[in-house]
Amino acid sequence: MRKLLSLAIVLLLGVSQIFAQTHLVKGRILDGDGKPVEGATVQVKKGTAVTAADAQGNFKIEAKPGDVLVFSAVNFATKEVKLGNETDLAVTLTRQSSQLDEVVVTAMGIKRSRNALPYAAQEVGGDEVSKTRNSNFVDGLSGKVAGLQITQPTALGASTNVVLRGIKSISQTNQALFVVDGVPFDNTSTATVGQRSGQGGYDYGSNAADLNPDDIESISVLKGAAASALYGSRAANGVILITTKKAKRGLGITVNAGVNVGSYDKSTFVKYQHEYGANYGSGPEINGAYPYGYGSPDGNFLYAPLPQFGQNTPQLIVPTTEDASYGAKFNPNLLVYQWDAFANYPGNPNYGKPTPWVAAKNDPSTFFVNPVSYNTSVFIDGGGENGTFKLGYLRTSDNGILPNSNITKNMLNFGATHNLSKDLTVGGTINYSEISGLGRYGTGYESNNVMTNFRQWWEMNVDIKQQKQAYFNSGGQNVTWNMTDPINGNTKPIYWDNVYFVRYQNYENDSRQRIFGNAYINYTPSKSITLLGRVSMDTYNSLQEERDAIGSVNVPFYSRNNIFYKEMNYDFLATYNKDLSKNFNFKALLGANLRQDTYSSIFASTNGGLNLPNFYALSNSVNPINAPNEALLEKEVGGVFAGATLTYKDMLTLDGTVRRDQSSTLPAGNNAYTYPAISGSWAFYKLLDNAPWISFGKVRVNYAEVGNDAPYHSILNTYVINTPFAGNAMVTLPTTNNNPNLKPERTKSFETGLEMSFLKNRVGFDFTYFASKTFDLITQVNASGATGYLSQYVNFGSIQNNGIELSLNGTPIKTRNFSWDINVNWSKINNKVLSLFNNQQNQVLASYQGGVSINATVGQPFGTIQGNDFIYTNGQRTVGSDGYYLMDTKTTDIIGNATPKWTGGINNSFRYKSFTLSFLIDMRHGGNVFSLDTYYGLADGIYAETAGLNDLGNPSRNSLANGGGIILKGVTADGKTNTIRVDNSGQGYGLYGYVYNPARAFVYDASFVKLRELNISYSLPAKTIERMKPVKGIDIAIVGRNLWIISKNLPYADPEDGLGAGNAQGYQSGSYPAVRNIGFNVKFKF
Amino acid sequence: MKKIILYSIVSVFALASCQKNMTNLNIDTKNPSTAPSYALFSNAQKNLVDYITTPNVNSNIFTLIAQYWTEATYTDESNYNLGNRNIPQNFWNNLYVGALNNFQQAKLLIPNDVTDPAVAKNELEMADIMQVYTYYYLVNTFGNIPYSQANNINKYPFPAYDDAKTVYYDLLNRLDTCINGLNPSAGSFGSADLLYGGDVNSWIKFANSLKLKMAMLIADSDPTTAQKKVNEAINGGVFQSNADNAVFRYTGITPNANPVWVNLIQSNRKDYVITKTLLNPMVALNDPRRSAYYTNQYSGSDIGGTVGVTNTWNNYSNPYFSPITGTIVDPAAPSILLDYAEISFLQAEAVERNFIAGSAETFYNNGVTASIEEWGGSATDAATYLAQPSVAYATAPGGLGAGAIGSTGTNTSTTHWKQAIGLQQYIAYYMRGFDAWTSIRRLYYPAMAVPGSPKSPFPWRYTYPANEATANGPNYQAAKTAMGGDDVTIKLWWMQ
Repeated sequence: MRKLLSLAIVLLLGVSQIFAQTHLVKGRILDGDGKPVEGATVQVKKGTAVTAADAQGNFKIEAKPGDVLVFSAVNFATKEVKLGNETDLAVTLTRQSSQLDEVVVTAMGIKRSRNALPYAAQEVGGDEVSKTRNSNFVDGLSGKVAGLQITQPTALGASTNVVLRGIKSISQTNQALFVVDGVPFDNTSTATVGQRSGQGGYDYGSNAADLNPDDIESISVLKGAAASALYGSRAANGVILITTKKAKRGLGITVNAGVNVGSYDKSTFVKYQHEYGANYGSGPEINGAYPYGYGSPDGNFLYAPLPQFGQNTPQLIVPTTEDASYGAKFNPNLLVYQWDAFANYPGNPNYGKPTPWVAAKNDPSTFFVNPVSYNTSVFIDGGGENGTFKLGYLRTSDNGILPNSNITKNMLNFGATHNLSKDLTVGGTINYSEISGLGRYGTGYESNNVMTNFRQWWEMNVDIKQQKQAYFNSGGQNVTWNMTDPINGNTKPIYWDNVYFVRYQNYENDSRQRIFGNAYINYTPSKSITLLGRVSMDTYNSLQEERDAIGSVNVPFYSRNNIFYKEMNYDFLATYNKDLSKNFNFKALLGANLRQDTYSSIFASTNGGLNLPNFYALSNSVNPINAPNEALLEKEVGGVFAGATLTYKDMLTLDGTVRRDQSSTLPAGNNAYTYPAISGSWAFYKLLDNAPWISFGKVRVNYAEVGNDAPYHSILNTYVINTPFAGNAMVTLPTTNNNPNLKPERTKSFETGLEMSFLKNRVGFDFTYFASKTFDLITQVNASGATGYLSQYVNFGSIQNNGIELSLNGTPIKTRNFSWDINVNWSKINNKVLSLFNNQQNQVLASYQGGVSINATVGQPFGTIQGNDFIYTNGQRTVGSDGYYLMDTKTTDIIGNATPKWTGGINNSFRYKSFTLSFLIDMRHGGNVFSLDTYYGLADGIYAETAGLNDLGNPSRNSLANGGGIILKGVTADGKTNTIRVDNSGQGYGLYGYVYNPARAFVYDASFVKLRELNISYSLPAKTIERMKPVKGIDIAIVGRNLWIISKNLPYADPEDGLGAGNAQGYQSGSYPAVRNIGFNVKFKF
Repeated sequence: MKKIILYSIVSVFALASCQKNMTNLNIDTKNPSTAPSYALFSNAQKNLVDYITTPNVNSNIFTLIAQYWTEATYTDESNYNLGNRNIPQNFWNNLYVGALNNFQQAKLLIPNDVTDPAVAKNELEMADIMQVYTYYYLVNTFGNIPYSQANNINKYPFPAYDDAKTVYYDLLNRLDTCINGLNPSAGSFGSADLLYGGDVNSWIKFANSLKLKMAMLIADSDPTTAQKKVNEAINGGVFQSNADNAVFRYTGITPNANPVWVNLIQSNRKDYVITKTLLNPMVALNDPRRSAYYTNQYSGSDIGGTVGVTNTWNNYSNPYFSPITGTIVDPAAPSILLDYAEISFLQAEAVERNFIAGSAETFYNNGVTASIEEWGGSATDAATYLAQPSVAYATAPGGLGAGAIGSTGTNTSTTHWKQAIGLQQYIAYYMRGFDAWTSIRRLYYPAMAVPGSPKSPFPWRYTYPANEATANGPNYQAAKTAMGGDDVTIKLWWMQ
């Protein structure tokens, strides 16, 4: 950043005459702690000479006595020193807590002073996202930028949802655009629609995580459309602008080595009952018998002779098919045949024997492992008179809390610049990354998601360690507790595989090789004109392989999905910068961009099973494979843009841009759209000389429009070719009716803000109000099936977002040895769906198991959760004459909303000498989540609250005759308090789950307060370092991530978890527990 | 030097932007923009048969509603819970989108891509018969449905609902037009017709048989028309033996395997057991089809499950094994769209109603025999079965239905022929849940048991899909008003 600043100044200064009689002045620039200020700029005031300090803070500059040297660096107050005859200077710069004087990188990489920035942009230092050593830097932005909502699922490597200033589009992406060094960086999720709607599958993660966090110099978040409009269509959702490191003069080597250990967060996992074992309830007792039970006299067990074990009279056998725990109360004196009695594997002491009926010693929580992850990085940079280079390498190996899960990343990046002449520079960067995933977690409602098992369908008598032993001792067989019919020798799984078999046999693996880079030529024909030509490419090849082994519950299969992606961008940018007079500065830019995207994929799967065991290739298909599914999506967007900025006395700024895009995804004749942005700012503090306590003050206001194009292939209908039937061609119409009359989607936005800081920048704030309205939404709306289509593409309706963003920063304490910095980010977004297609009041975004859907509803924030509700009397739940809750039969009651009311973060940083302690508290208030886990799990009787004592002090699962049962809280239809006790022995499923409660009962408040990050670092003192040449610095850090959920209202799970990135949030099924990470990192600088 | 570089920047850019017509990029090159009509027809036939055959609990639960099976552990649908899995919506969408729209598109294309006008005419009639057949399901499941404005999204993005009775009479008229329009001397789809291999004479029989069946549905509400149509159909030629049956023959290889096998066997799951409603009468009557319909667990005895309660799969008779080849657990098991047995039973009924002359007993015997033979039994098996007084038409008693008769909201029929024919028709309709449900709704026999914890009384119809209320709101509201509500307890117009 400092180097950037110095480069910027160099450019601003231009070339001028050189005075005579100069001599070489050298010196060293240090901060208040005696540490070098790397990259600080030194220039001769009113002169031309300029240089930058090297990594040790050393500089050399030509100057003459009487010159004033100006020393500046990011985060430091500028200092002027009048030169006498000295030739060796020691300069100390004072650190500034506020970043308000900083130069901010804005659209197209243009740097602007804070004074002249007419829109909201918030900067995050690269260090902020790299210091936690998270291999996905996107997660590191959470809580650090007002208005940026980052949602991180709990599964290893799962995709992060990144939304700026609220949801704007119903069925198109709302993910912010990532731009790296001026070039868009793809962050498309390759997850299937099925995966995102909870049907199972894998979340292959966010592609933005393919960037080396150690190469990030700074991140500038351009929140509103005015700031980002120059990036075109995709910028409507805001831009996360990443500037990678620029090499510095001299040679610098940085090495990081870190290790971290994870553990699951107990507050995000099921709290089980340990009193009752397998089955769905014995049913009612009728004349001393249990006619609806499982056969045994008490109705809880199967009852059959086992001649294979020499038992010719009926024996008590656990109903292994019954994946619930509403069964018999545990009793160590009762001997029953459990699954292990039927599992003939080596070392099983229980084969053929009944065992005591007791709760499992090791419940599913013992399945999790404490993963150890590693990361290593080397970063080398250097530069001289004519050019610079940088070379970075990062390797991370992340292991998950599930056995056999790993994501390894290798990232190599190289960048160089070369000055061909003093006005011509060429440069380029190239990044290569290779991501390999193994055993990513199964998601959704699926047997390969072990959480579906642990949270929804489980027998409390099943011991995980025994399942582990069964899997390994049997040589990797699917020895499951959930046997189909063990009495008759069918020990195959009926619904659930052995969870170890799932992890070690039914695993996925994937890889992605990505090349991202650009080459540019920068030409400065005169001091006011710069021309930039750039070609950039972002391309990857990805292979995703999935499998279910022979012996699985599912039909065994192997599938592969080969994905190729390429985005080319050709940019031309001319900028003009001239001081029109002493007070007026004029800047202009003119540019053109051509973007070409190609996405192609081939998905193929075996058909009808696998022939050879443990062999995964398409050739191993039982039946001939069906034709692979091919996709080829191509797109081209051409854009031209222009902008002008007029600045008066570095105080008043007026800025206007206009861009016109033409996109191939829209119908010809309707495919071009032009959108303007206009902004103004007034750095009024410059007039407040009589109020020295005001260090900075600026108001800004802007208005912008952005257009968006249509998804691929949404104009013309095509047919779908299906597998031939006995040699006959099979073709159908598609289920979505495309629309040849689509027009661009538009967003209009307005923003105004006030930034101020006081007391020499010790305290400051940045307040923004924004409002945006998106209309002519291009959306795939549900159609009546009677039209012959399930959905159709239309332009319709509008969504508005308005809200406020507030950032506060301050340095309550600052002494030579101790300082405390605090930074608060807070934002509240009021999102509202204004209108929908054809005056409809509701649009279903996704329908999920459990009879719930996520919707856009007119007059409501985006993301209403709908399902059936209780019936209320005077605001209280109504019970029927039978004592059970009455439920609405409609599944369209609004029972929640996924959109949070506000989000915020508080970052505290304490420095004492060479120690730094910082921690980040991340908060989300409001928003709901529906849990399919409790919907089913409470009905199955595995959660603690389904057992225990009732108000009479008796076990609630006792029959009513024996003092059991529960009086549900509620009133009768006439408003009287309910007094009827109802059964909780598991008749027709338990009392607490989905059978006796509407979907509303499983909607929870998703608010949370998390200790997101905790860092303690120590830098070895300069004196010590000096003795350790060539080492120039050693930093030691202990880093913690997601250490503590301080507060939440969702029981047993992390409220932040969901089904990955996408517009439909607010649903959990088979949620993984949150993972605490604690790590140790050492950073060496050479 | 500088100029060279400058020019090269500009020219690289100019070169890249030199796309002839960017709109062409938006043409999907991996999916065709044109298709032959016959391929649409074949696929629509398969889609239709898949949907009416599958016992997948997410889309077709008629086998549970007709109480052939009940769910072992997860009992929601056996208790008439239609909402949790959006059953009405899945059924509606599958038929309108998967079947009707593709038949419709085939009809639009045939005049253009079939050169011989006589062949084109036959193909159009066949596609129309398939549409009539499909609408028979929809109109008798929901009542009023979109019909005149259906399957025409560009003209009617929000299709209005038509009155069920009007739709039904129009379907009958369409069928007449089709029968008259079929020309046996011209060809048709050939092998692309997955029912009859394009044989026009078979289609004439099929259409007449369908007409007979549709006419009998209104035997109570409009006996005059029913009688007229029944006679026309018989004169036109209805099924004479099982060889005439409308059969869809699955190849046995996924995705062209029988969905029953896919859901029962391939899935490894054990979700269903046989109900007492089906099992008790079959046991009492020594029915020879039992070994084809179900097998018994280790106990060896026939044990029927109780509808809508947890029935441990191990303890009950279930549909997962069969020693009889070609039956439901075979991946290549055929699926029946219309058969000689039902046409025989319907004619027995027509005799009893004095619509036609003849012997009800003969038709009844033909129906029973055809059904037994269809399920792998022999003529001797059938004769032995029919010789029992409890089966023989004259002496067959009523009341052998489910364990818990009555209290279903059904005004269970007491007419002898309705009971005798109703029971045999019910047994013969095994695995054809919709037809069984319709037969029960028409004859009120056999009585259905009350499930363990029913969400509603026995459904006379399906509620409309949840999506209709939002995606087609005003028309849905109008239909709801016209129907007198949207509950499962609302009777359709032809019900007594």
